[in-house]
Amino acid sequence: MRQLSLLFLSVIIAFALHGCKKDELGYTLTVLPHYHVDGQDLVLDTIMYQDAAGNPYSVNKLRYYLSNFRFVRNDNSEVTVDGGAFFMDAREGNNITLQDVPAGSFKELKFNFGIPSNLNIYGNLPNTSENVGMVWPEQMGGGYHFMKFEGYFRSGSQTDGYAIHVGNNACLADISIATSFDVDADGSMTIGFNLNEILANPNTFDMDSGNYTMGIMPAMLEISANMHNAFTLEQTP
Amino acid sequence: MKNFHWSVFLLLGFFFTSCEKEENLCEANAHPYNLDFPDYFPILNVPNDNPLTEEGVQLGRRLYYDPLLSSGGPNDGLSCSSCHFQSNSFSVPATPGGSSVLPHVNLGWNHNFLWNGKVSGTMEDIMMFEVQEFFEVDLDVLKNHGAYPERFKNAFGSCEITDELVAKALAQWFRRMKSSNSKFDRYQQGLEQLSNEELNGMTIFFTEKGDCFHCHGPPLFTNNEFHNIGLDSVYDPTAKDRSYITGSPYDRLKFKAPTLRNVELTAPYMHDGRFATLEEVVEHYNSGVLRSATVDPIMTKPGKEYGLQLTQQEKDDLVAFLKTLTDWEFVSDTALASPF
Repeated sequence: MRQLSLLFLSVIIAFALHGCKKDELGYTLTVLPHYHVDGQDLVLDTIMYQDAAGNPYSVNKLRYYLSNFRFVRNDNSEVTVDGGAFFMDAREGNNITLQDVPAGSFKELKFNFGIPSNLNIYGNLPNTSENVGMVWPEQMGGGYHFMKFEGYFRSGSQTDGYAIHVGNNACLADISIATSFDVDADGSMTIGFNLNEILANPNTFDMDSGNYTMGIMPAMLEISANMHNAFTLEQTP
Repeated sequence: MKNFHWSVFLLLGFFFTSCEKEENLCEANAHPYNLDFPDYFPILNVPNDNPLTEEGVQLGRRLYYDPLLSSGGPNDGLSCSSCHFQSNSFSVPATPGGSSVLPHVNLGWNHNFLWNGKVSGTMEDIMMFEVQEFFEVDLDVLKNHGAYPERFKNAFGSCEITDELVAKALAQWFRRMKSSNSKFDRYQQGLEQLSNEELNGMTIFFTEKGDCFHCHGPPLFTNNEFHNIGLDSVYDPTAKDRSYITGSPYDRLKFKAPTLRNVELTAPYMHDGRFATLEEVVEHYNSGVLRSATVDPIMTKPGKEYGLQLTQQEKDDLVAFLKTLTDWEFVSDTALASPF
């Protein structure tokens, strides 16, 4: 009888510890990107979109970094969920996994477009092929490309390529999405990324007047400013 | 009754012992192979079912150099090494009007293979293509050979020789064929200085002035992607460019960006070998780019619509820098040479 009681007690303690563990370590959230152009799901490699300047264009490459995910509680306190940088590739359709997310009610989602300066030094991200492929040469300031956005556009009857590349610490954009959400279990959230906004708001980027941005700081800063309006929280956890 | 039980156990014991012995006949005798490379190289992805071993690497090396690989096939009498010479960074030596063969260097970090990316994936995938489609390896030739069955057994613990195992052995050897000891590498590690000419060339290479780095960024000096660099303005289907594989008109006139490691040893240049020297290559970027719908925007970006417009000194500097990517150890290392 005594042994049975001990067994029962052990089971109770195990359950209690398991519960404590979840509370202390938090939940796992998968961040799913949804790429679209003004609500149309992204189709790669076909000139089928029109930018704010009126140029039909295609998207053939979209690689970028999101970083420093933070949740803002209703009392305005900010929780850094993950301070790291995540490589994203629209062609690969990869997700972000946020671990140890604390439970609670939040009123705002914040993250960076780009890589924080402490990580934006070659070698400070893991040397995966993806990260190495985004290197920004030391001779141009070092670190990594924040984004490579490439494709083709039409100007009259002529087709040309475009390569919108953004890097440099000055181009880090702090994105804030004021949408309430709760975290009380493992789950997922969907972040919408409207690619037309990269070229539109507040700065209309006309590819016809410049189809290349790398090293052209005014153009990169314009694109960086546009990123503030490119993201929405489409599905809360 | 008790005795009967013991006898059954004894019989079973013999049965299992005998089975075990039979299995031992095909047991691997493989030892881990440690591949060193600088920490600024990307992580090398090696599949769990084909780790590098001393026996696997050496088996792949023999297969690479052995014409038996092609016996009876469409390339009868040839081995990989028949077209890929170590002294040329495992590419084909320059010959007048000769074709251009991509060098076998650092391919372990690649995922697109051949000029038009006919094969994508892992080293095992491209080697399976070589085994089944290019060489059409006759496995019976290997099975009946005096030494190969034992070598396959030691490397993979298999009494059978299959296409998959031939591909795996070759994949291990290709991962071993890495080059990371050029003058540029030693400069990166603070072990050697570059001349003023080479430093100037490096600046051109890594800035918008030359903008070579986008397609040929370090440490691999290839981005593993496909580009139209303005060699031609008219699409030629017989050239079998990237669009031949994808069917997309946006891939016309595109070919894989080759690695520039050991580039001074890999003439002739471009997919069709149209340029015999590095000076000709640089002059193409400087003044010879032809426009077309798919030409890379880097070729015609603002201020460079008519080429790089480098001075003669700048062109010389750029070539001088390219020559710092030569790894003389790689092309003379006896461990990479023929075992025969």
